Amino acid sequence: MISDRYNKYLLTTCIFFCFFTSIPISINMYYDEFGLFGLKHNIRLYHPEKSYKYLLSFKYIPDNFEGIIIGPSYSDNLDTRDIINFKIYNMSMDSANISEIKYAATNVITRGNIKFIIICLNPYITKDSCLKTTQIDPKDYWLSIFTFFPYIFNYSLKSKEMLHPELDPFHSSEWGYKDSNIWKHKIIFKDVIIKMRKEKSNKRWGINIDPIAYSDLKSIIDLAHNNNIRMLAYYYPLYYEFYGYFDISEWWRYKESMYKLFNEKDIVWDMNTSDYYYITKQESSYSDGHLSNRGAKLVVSVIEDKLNMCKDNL
Amino acid sequence: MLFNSFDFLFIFAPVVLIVFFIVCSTGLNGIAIIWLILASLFYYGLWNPANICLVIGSILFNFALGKTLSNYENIILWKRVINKKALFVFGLTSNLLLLGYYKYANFFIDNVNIISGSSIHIEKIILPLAISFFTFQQITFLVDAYRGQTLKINFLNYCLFITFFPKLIAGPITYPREFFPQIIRRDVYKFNIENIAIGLTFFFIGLFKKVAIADNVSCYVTPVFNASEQNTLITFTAAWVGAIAYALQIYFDFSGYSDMAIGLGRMFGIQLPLNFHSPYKSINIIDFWRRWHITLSRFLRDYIYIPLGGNRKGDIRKNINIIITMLLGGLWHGAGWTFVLWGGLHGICLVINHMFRALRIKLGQDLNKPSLLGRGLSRAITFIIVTIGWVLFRADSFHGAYNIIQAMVGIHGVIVPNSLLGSLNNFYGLGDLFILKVGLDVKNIPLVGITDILIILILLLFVWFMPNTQQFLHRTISASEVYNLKIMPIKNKFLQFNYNIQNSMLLAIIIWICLLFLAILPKTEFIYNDF
Repeated sequence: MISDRYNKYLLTTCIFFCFFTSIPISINMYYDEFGLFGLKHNIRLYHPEKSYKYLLSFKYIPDNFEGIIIGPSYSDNLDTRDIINFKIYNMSMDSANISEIKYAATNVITRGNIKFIIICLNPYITKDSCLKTTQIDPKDYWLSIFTFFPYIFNYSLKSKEMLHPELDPFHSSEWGYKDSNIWKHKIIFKDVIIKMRKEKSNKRWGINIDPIAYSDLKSIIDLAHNNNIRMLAYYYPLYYEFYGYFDISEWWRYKESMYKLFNEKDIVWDMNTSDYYYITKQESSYSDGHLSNRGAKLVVSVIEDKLNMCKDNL
Repeated sequence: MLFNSFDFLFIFAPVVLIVFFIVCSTGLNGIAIIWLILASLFYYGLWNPANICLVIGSILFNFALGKTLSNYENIILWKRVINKKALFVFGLTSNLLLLGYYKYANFFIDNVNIISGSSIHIEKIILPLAISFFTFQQITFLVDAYRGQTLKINFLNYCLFITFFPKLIAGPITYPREFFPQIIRRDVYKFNIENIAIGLTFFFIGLFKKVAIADNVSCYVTPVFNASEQNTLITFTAAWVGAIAYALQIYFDFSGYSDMAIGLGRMFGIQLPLNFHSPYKSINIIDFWRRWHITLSRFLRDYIYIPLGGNRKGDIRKNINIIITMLLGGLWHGAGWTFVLWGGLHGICLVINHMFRALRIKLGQDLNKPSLLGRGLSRAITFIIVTIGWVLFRADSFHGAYNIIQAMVGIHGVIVPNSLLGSLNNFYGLGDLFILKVGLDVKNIPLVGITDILIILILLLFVWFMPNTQQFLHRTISASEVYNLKIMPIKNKFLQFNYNIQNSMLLAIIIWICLLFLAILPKTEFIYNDF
C-alpha cells in the first residue's frame, strides 16, 4: 500500500512534467513564430529585429535560403526579392556590430546548406565589439521552445506595429528586408549634405578597428571557408562627398585589413570607385546617408550581376 | 561531470541506478558494490583520470593501516616492530602530508619567499578534486581503528565508503559508523520505490537551489568583488548587496549540493548525514556552526578540538583550542591568508560567544528562553557577522576584502542607486538625505537597482523564515541527524510535505524549472568543489 502511494506520486509527477513541458512546446510549434520547428516557410519579422533574426537563424534561414547578406543598417534595406536567380535572406541588423551578427551568422553557416554569404563592409560593423543590447541572447533559443517568455516580450512590441501598419518597416520582411525609408521619406538629403559640410569639412574621419570585432569578422569568414561557402563582400557605396571626408590613409589601412581576411576565390569589390559613380554621385541614391529605395535597388542589381558572374562556382 | 549537467541527469545517474538494482535483483550484492565503486571512480576520473591512481593508492594505504590498527593486539610481529600510537601517527601524518603537498605547497613556498626574500620556485600544483573530503574520511577511519571502534568491514565496503559518488566530491563528510552499518543491511540491495521518490524529491530541490537561485544570485556577487580588487570605488548599497548575495549564493550552492547528495544516496538506500539546517536562522555563532556545514564542524570538533583538550583544561585553554580549531578550519577551505583570517574571525566570535554565555549564566539569566525581540536582534547580529566573514572568504585578497568592508561601514559614503533615489525623492526629497558624501567620482561604480535589492530581500526572508528541505520533508527522515532532535517538524500543515497530487505537481514544476535553467545558463561548478 505504501509503495502504491509512492508509485502514484512518481507517476503523477511524470504526467505533470510532460504536461508542463508539452503545453508551451505545442503552442510554440503551432505558431512557430521564429521558425524553430521548421513548420513555416514564410515568416515575417517584427521588432526587435536582432532577436527575430537571431532566432530565425537557427532553422528558418538555413532551411529556406541559398545565401545571406550580413551587415549593419547600411545593407538592411536591400530588398533581395529583386534578385531573380537566387533566394537570399537579408540578415543585416540595424545598429549591429559584427560581434552581434556573428551569433546569427554562425548558426546559418553551421546548420544549413547555404552557398554564399555577402558582407556589407562598412567601418561601422568593426568599430566596436560585444553585445550592444540584450536583444541577442543565446538563452532565447531554449526559452522560445520551452516557455512563452520571448513571445510575451515580442508580442508587446509586435502590437505597436500592428496598431500602426503604415509605420511598419517589416511589412514585407519574409526575406529579411527592412523598409527603413518608411521613416525617412521626409528627410531631404541635400540638407544632410549641407549639415555635413558644416560639421566635417575641416576634419578628416578616422577609422577605428576593434580587435575583437576584427577577430569576430575573421572567424565568420574562416568558418564559411571551412564549410565551402563562397564569400562575396562589397565596400558600402558612400556618397562621394562623404567618402572624401575620410582620412585616405586610414581608409587604405582599413581596406588592407579587410582584404587580408579573404582568399583568392572570394569576390571583393569596392563601390566607392568611379565605376559606381552612377550610385555614389546621385543624391537620389541616399536618404540620410543610408541608401534610398532607388540606391538600394542599384546596389542589389550590382550584387545580382556579381552572383551571376560566379553562378557556376557557387 | 557535475550533478547539474544533462550528462549526469539523463545518462550517468539513471544508468548507475538501474544497473545497480538489476545486479542486486540477481542476489550478487558484491558485484553490485563493485559496480558502484567502478561507476564512482569513473565519475571521479572524468575530471582527471590520473587522479584515480591517487584515490586508489590512498584507499589501499589507509585500509591496510586501518586493518593493522584494529587488529594490532592480535599481530605479535607488529608489536615488536612499532607501537600502535606510532603507527597511527604515521598514518595520520601521511594523510596530512599528502593533503598538505597538494593544497599548501605553493602557498608555503610563496610565504617562505616573502619572509626570507628568497626566490624558490615550484610549479603550480593542481589540487586533485575532492582530496580534502576523501582524506578527512580516511582520517576518521584511522582514528576509529586506533580507538578500536571500527566495525568488521571488507575491502570493497571500505572502497565504497570512500568513493561513493554522491558524497565523493564535497561531502557530507560521513563517519564509518554511519556508513558501514547501512551497507551491511540487506534491504539496501532491494529496490525500494519509497527511496526513489524521496531521493528524487530531495535531489531536485537541491538542483533547484543550485541552478535557479545560487547561479542567478552570482550575478550580483562577481561585479562587486571584481571591482573591489581593481580599486574601484564600491558604494554602500553595492557592497551590502554583493556581500549578502554571496552569503545567499554560497548557502544555496552548498546546501543545494548537499540536498542532491542526500537525495542520490537515498535512491541507493543510503542515508547520508545532514549538512545544513537553516544556518541563517542562527541566533549566535555557536548555533551557526551547528547549522552550517554540520559534518565539517563535527569533524573539526571530534578530530581537532577534542584531541587538543576541548574544554577539559580550563577556560583559557578552551578558548585557545577554539581559535586553533577555527584557524585550521579556515585554512582547510583554501591556501590563503583570507581563509585563515575568516577562520580566525569565527574563532574569536565563538570565544566571545562562549564568554558572553558564561557571563549570562553567572548573572542567572535563562539562555533557553530569549524574548522575541532578543531572538530577532541576535539573529540579525549573527547574520551581519557571518556576512562580513563571507567577504573575507570570497575576496581574492585582503585589499579587495578591505575595500568592500570599508564600503559596508559607509567609509566610501552612502550612494543610493539612481533608481532608488528617484523613488525616495518622490517622498519629500528623502533621497537626498542618503547621500552623505557628494562630489564622488561615480564613474565605473557597480551600482545596484531597486529590483536587485528586492530580489535579495525576498531571498533573505526565505532563508530566515521558511522551513528548510529537511523540515519540509520531515516525515521522510531523509538525512541522518548529526545533532539529535535538531530537525523539528513544521507546525503549519500547509507546509508539511505529503506524497500527494499537489506536491507531485510542485515537483514537476521544480524539475521543469531546473531543466530550463540548465539549458539556458552556462554550467557552473559548485563552490565547494574547489575545497
